[in-house]
Parts: sequence; structure tokens; C-alpha cells
Amino acid sequence: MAVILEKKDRRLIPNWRSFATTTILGEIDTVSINPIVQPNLSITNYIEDFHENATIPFAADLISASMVNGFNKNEEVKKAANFILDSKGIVTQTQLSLAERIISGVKDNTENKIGNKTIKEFNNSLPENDYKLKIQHLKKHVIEFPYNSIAWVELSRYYSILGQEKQSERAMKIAIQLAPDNRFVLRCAVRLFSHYDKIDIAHDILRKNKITSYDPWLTSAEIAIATLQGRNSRFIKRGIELVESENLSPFSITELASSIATVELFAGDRKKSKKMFAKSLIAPNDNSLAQMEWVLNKDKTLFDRTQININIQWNFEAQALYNFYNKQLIDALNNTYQWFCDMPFSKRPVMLGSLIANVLGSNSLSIKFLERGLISHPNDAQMLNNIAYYLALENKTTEANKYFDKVDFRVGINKLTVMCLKATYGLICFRENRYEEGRIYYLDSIKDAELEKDKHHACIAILNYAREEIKAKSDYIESAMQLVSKISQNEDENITIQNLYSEVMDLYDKYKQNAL
Amino acid sequence: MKDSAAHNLLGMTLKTGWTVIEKITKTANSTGSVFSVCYKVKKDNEVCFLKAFNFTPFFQLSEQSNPGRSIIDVMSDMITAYKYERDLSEHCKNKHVTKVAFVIDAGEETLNNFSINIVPYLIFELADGDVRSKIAFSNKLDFAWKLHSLHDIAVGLQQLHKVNVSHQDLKPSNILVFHRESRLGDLGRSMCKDMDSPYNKQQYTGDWTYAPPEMMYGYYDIDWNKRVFATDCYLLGSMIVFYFAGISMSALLLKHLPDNLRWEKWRGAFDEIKPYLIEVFSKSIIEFRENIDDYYFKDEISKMIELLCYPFPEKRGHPKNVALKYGSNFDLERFITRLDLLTKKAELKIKR
Repeated sequence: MAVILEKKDRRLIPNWRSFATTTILGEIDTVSINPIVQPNLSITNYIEDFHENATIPFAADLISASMVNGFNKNEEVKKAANFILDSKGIVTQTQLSLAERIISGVKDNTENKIGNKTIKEFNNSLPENDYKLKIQHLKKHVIEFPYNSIAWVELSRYYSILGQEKQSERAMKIAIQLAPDNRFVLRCAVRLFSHYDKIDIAHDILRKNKITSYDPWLTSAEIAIATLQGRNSRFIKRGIELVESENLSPFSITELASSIATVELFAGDRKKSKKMFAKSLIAPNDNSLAQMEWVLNKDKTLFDRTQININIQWNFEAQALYNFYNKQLIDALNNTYQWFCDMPFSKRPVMLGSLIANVLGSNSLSIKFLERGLISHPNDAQMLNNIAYYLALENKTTEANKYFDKVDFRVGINKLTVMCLKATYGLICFRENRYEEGRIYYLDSIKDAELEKDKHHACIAILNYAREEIKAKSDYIESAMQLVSKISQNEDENITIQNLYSEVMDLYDKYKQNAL
Repeated sequence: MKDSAAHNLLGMTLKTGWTVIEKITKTANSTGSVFSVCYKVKKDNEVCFLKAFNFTPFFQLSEQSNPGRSIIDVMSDMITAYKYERDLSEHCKNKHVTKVAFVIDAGEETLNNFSINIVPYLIFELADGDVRSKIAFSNKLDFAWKLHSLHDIAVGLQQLHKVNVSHQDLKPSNILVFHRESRLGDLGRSMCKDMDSPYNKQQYTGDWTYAPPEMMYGYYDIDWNKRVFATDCYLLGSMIVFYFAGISMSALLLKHLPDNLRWEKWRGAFDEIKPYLIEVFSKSIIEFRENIDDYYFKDEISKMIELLCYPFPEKRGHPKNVALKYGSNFDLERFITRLDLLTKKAELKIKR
């Protein structure tokens, strides 16, 4: 049985993307909305010089001046840039690339293209090698520029994508030492340590930092981490002050307002929660929007969905959740793939992607998702279990056993995962015609689920078990179907249960008609 | 523009004995100022360069930036600027500064039929042109010449620093070439600790295109020496970048800087932007390096830029100077020695 998405409460832990993408998203912009006094700028002198002396040095001087003073759209500057582009061979690489930048008007950022990706591209890339190359490059870079905290963060990110926890943590600790007050560094650190379940460290980084009181992006992260630990954050009051301050841009407080709204919601104050969510949605980012999507799935009446602006950049998680909850599975699958490309170290898109692929009937795609997930989480028992499960469903029991054997039972595995592992082993046994053994494991798993009062997983285990008994044409079909009959179809709207239920009932009908 | 007295000196014999023989339109010989009109002048078979101070655009600009300001105040400012450049040149000449284009004569002329009929002027040696008219980015033979020129510039700056003058406006149009020698031109925006300068209260007086990052983000050291000499260090590094990469260091930095972190959008403190500047700086150095083929020169020159253009002024300069108990971070002696050595090596390479 596959471990499906755990019904954990979602918190606004900062998302961790590359520096280039984070800057595009505006998450490291200054939070103040006070106007800036600009000096009187002019590049007239440079333009006149270029008119009188149409040579490369004068053209280069003009495009330099325009780059610094922000006149890149000036027609004379474009002429100078074109002049340089037409003089290839007698200009420097830097002059050429600056001229190209001025003409094209955009900075080259390949990560911009994630939004255009579809699941069809899943097989075409070999990201592991790409990441290894990036690590190699960044290692050289930090040797040369050891004070570059941003490069250390990027290095840490790539290590975490490849599941190299120790190296990732070391790089991040260096970054924190170099830039202990920097928002980008601190938010990435918080994400890293919470990713590795080191919530205490993540919390300490923020709790003890004086800047957490002033920077809404960090206040928000502190509140999220504190509540994740089951603690009351001492920054809530300060957070409310920041949200209600008129000096901060609505975008800079979106996560903070959403974090406070979530706390209020759990505390049962729906009115305050609604007010804070409304503030968070004035200028949302992908994280606050995904939070709203998660909340709306729990309580549809809290907010009017039509009032939410979902057209924001890098909104893959929220779109994936929205489409999944609304059973638009193909769209959800594409969004999940985009979400995974955006945050390849994250487990949630992997689990959701494999689940959707399974529901759509493609166990091989589910396996591919999980194998990609194993790059970042090489020993993750849930992923190993799920791969073994999907392989066993395809009757590939030898491969299924290989993955199953990789599960390290010595490390703490949570009860839900143990429950699923038992059921998966039961499935493998059934597919290897060891029915008696398989039955014991399935029944054990069902018993565990019932003891834990986990109706959801109990239902899934029962349906999986019943399917196997029917396929085996055993003498236990009726007793298994008796268990199935206890499942109320209205009990759970979960798409996995619905699918499994239909499959079992079809098989049972065929069995009754001797059509199996 | 043409109605101003400064534009009508052609053909005149000035009180100082110089004959104005040619008006120089905006060319390589210009010092880049809109407040001046330039001519070639001749006396005793010596041809020199005349910079006539033009009040008209000064009034126009002043009217735009500070409407209602009295004409007397504007004239006073311009006269102060004229006197300052003249006296500073004299001050430097008397203190054995050699690598600067000095004022060799000065005077004022009165022309009738103009609302402002007085034209103060300064006469300089006539250069072959500014560095933009001489430099070629593709010619490898120029490599030794570039290093030699940079050596001259560094020597010139160091000489100025020794007499408590900071140039502040080092840029390609202010590097004048006299045969094989390069000299610093346009002391008009310089700061001098020993003289009452019209700019002494300003943090940065040079061209914004070449301004160091700390100035762009509104940060400056209160200590005069640290502030102005750190700026000159950056400007020297920026000149090296221009000579080999063909653009200014600030343009290179801004090329790599994400748009929303640009100086005109940033509302935070300089400290907050520092980690991002380091990231951008490191990328800029890597890009700069690609413009030099030879491994030895590539490493040596980019190392110099790293030290001279470091985005935080307090960490700028040679590390061995920083470690010294006495003296300044921003002493250029070690860079001069390095540039001299590199010039010699480059010349030897050509001879081989």
C-alpha cells in the first residue's frame, strides 16, 4: 500500500529557490515603501561624444553610462549597442554581452522557463548530472570567493537536492557566519534545517536574531517554525504590528499575514484569521497562495475563491493543489512537475506527482517521480515503500523486493509508514503466490490502522487486501469483501479510495460472473 | 548656446598673448564638460588647448535644478570653480606632481554684445586625445601600451594622493594621451584637503557613471581620507576594467545585478545589500577574466581589480597595506610596482 499525502498541517516555511529566481520574485526587495530621492541623471555628454566619434570606445562608454544610469531604452544607446554588435571581432566579450543585454532588454534566466514545462519533458532530463556539475562549479567558486555567502547558499541547495545532508548543512552554516543578518540566507537556512527535521536549529536561527523583529519575511518564518514546534511564537504581537504598519509594501507582509492567519485559525478565531488572510492576499506570493489553497480545502467557506488573484509567478504548488482537489488531474500533474522542477529537494511534489500518476493509471510514471525523489531523499522509507508498491502492482516483485530491502528499519520510521510497509510486503507476498504470508501482513496492517483510528489508511489497506484475495481467487474473498462492505462510500471523498473501490467492485463482479 | 561669449573666441588674440586658431567641437580632446567650450590656441609656435568657461548652460541647469537662484550666486559658483581648478593645478605643480595635465596659463576675456560678456579660461598642454581615441580592444600589441598607460594613471593618482588631492573623476575622457605618456586631465572635480574646495562638503563629485557602489547606495565614510581615497582606488580599478573589458566596473556590476536590487530601487541600508554585491562582484570578476587570453596576465590583472574595486570601501586596497600599522589601505605603491612589472613583461613578450 502506498503512503499517500500525509494530512499534516501546512505552515508557511519559506520556499527555497535559486538566488536569481528569488530576486525575480521580489522576496529580497526592501520592504519599505518610502520614496527614494533620485539624483539628476543625464547621459547627454556620452551621446554627443558618440555622435562626434562613432568608434567602439565611445560606443562602449555610452552603453556603460546607460547601464549605470538606467537609460537602456534610449534610442541613441540602442544605436551604440547595435554598433558594437555589428563590430564583432574588434570588441570584447563583455562589450558584446552588454550590448546584447541592452538590445534584448532582459537578463538571461533559464529558470524563467519552468512555467512552460510539461510532464512530457520528464524523461528528457538527467538532472542529477546537471546538479553535480553545478556543485563542481560552485565549489571552485567558493574557493576563489570564500566570502560570497550567496554562493555558499546555492552550494547548500544543490547538495540538498542530491541528498548530501552533511555537506549541505556545512555550506549553509558558513553562509550564516558570513551573512548572519541577511534575509535570503536566513530564510534558506530555515528551510534547509526544517527540511532535515532540525526544527530547533531553524528556530534558534530566527529567534535569536534581532532582525526578525523588523523584517516581516523573517517574522513570518519564525511564527511558522514556532507553531510547527507546537510553541507560541513571541513574535505574533510584533507581527501584527508589522502587518498593520503602513510603511511596508503589501507584498512584503503577505507571508506574515498568512502565518498569523493560520495561527488564528488553529486558535479558533475565524474572524481574525479571515482578516489576516485578506491582507495576505492583497499582493500574494506563491507560498501565501498555496497556504490559502490548503486552508480552503479544509474550510471552503472561509474565503471567496473568486476574490483571489492566482496569476502570480511560480505559483505551481497552489495550482497543483487547486487542480488536484478539483480532480483536474492532467493539469495537476503538469503543475506538480513544475513544482518539482522549482523545488527539486522537496518531498511533497514527489509524493503528490506519484499519487496523481497512479490515479491516472501510470504506475511507471509514479515510479519515475519517486526515483527522482530518492535523489534528494535516498533513504526515505515512504518513497521506497511506494516504489515497491507500484512495482509489485506491475508484478515486478524482484525489483519491488530490492527497493523494499533498502528500507532501514533501524532508523525511526513513523507508524503510518510501518503500516504501509506491512501492507506493501503483503502485496509482494500475494504476487509471489505466498498468500498465507501476504494475508497475515495485510491483516496486521489493517489492525494497526484501526488501532491508530486512521480510517483513511484502513480503507486503503482493506481495498488493497480485497483486490489481492480476489485476484488470488482464494477462499478468503468473502471475508475480505465483508471488510470492504464496512467502508462507507461517503466516508471519504479521497480520489485514491474511490479508484480502488471501483477497481475492487469491478473485480468482484467479474469474479461472481466467473469472468476472471 | 552659440549666443554665449565663450562660443565666440575664434580668431581673437587674448590678453595673455595666445591666438585662438581653432574651435574644437565635441571631440576626443574635450574634457567632457558641458560648462566649457574648447579651442586650440597658439603662442610662439606652441599649440595648446584652451578651456573657456561657459556661463550659459550653467544658468540653464541651475534654473532647472534650483529655480529662483540668483545670477550672482550662480556666477560666484562658476568663478569659484574656475579659480579652484586654476589654483589646484598650481598647487599640484608646485608639489612635483608630474602625471597631470596642468594649467599652463589662465586669464579672462571680455566680449561686447553678450549679456554675460566675461569669459574666464584656462590653457592646458594639447594632448593627442583622450584614451578613447587611442585604445583598441582587439589589438594584442596594445596590451603593453595599456599597462603602461595604467601605470601612468596610477602614478598620477598616487602623486595627487601624496599632496592630499583626490581626483574623484577618473574616467576614460579624463585620461589624456601625450605621445606615449598618459596623464590625468580635468582636476576640476578633485578634492583637496589643504584648499577650500567648492566640493569639500560633497561625498562624491565625479561622474555617476563611474561612481563606486557605496556612493550609489548612499553610504560613505565620515573620515575624509578613507572616503575619497577609497573612491579613487575604485576608479583606478574601473579604468583597468575599461582598458581590458571595454566597459566601466560599475556597468559590469550592474550588468550582473538583478534589476530590483539596483541602486535606484533599493531603499534599504548599504549593509543589507552587501552580500548581494559580493555575489555580483564575484561574477563580474569572472566575466572580466574572460577578456584576457594570457593566463599570467589574466590572474594578475583580475587580482588587482579585486583589490581595487572591492564593493566595500573599508576592504578596498592592497591587503598588505591593510595589515600595516601605519599608512593607508589605499596606498597605490604596490599597484604601481605591479603595473610596472606587468608592463615590462608584456613588452618582453612582444619583443620575443
